[in-house]
Amino acid sequence: MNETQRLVFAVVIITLVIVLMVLAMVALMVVNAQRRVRHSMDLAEADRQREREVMAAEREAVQQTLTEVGRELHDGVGHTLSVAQMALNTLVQDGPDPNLLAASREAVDQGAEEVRRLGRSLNSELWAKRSLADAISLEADRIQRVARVQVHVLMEEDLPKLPPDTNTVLFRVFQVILTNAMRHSGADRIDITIRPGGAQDLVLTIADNGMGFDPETTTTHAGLANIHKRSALIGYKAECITAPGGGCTWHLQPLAPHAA
Amino acid sequence: MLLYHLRTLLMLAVMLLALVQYLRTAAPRPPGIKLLGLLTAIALVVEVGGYLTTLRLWNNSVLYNVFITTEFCILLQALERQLPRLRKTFRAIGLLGIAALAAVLIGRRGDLWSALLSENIALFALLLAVAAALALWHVANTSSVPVQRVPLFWIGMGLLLYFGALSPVVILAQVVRSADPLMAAMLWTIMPVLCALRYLLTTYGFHLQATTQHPLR
Repeated sequence: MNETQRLVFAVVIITLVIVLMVLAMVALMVVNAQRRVRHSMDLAEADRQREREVMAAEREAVQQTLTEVGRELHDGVGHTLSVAQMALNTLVQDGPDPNLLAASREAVDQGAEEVRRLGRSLNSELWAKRSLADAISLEADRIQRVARVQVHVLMEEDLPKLPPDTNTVLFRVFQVILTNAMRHSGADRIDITIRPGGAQDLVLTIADNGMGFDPETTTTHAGLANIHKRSALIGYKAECITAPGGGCTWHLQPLAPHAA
Repeated sequence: MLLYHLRTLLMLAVMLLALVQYLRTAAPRPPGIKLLGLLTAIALVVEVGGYLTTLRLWNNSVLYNVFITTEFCILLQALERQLPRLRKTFRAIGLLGIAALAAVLIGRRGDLWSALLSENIALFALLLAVAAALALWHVANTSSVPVQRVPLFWIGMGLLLYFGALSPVVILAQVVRSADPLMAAMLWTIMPVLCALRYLLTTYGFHLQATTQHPLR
């Protein structure tokens, strides 16, 4: 090989290396672009899934409230008005009796107050505007009134306002935990604690003194799985501390608190 | 000879440019960037030393034998710090390289430092090319921004370009050395050009780092 041929050979090698490099660069850019397209599609699907779950949670929360209100109307208001009706029947048959008249008036007042209260809990505007803390307090009041369970709510002042989706899902998760405690645990006391968990988050603790359960054997329970799944959907972690005979404590807290 | 000076000075100028660009990145710098900046400074000093010793016709094999080993360790460390998920892979590559170096040193007879450990350079270059390819593949598959805006992409491309070519060039130069020593020498002159290209890509990586100030990847 003469000098020129050697030089040409060197230039060919350099060119070949550069061409290969450009090809590798283009291939990597294509791989990255495809990956980003897949990623945005996954994100969009996750958003849709989240929306579906939030709507389902809202529907279930409304449905449960309607069922409870129906039960209260039947057992509470219905009973109060029946008492008033009987008293009024007696008055019609036996003539005026100031004591009976006062008792029937009191029963009617009580019934009217109950109806007004139940009406407020069904008001969709109030439902949308209320904070999670308000919703939990109302639910706790209601449970205390209708069930033989003492419900204590302890909440710190200046709780942050949650985004509507988080509000809805957390309330539904809370409802499920509370219902489970009342139906399955045999608890007579439930303690609820609400405190700030960052600039836009809350930490919710629900503890009952019921029979508890073995978390090892109940991991596949659909209700429990749903609590975890829905919490994760809004960026929360649901943790259950329980043992047979040792009550059950749920901690709902943000995975990573929002920045202020 | 004029071409040799031109190639070497071009390479030194680009390395200096990369170093200046590195210094433009604001502190605190990501750990990988710090190591790459340090390596650029060391490389510049070594190449200036190599140039001066070549002009005086001194044997500078020891300089390059030590430098390639240092470069191998620093680059793997920088990649490991930037891509912790590939830590085990980079460590395995590092161990393989060190084991190969030990084998070469044990296998050699006579003076270890007077000759260039070309087998070792070829192996280190091959391993670094593999490490750079893995890093690039990882970045392309995980980056949520276009890779052309990621500093590590350009730095990795530079590494792949240089080390990907270094290994076959060194092997080829060794093979043709006895039959055609001038051809072997010509092959070695390709490397400063590729090195200049490598540091040009590194400069762009540092520039992206300085202007966007996001993590290396």
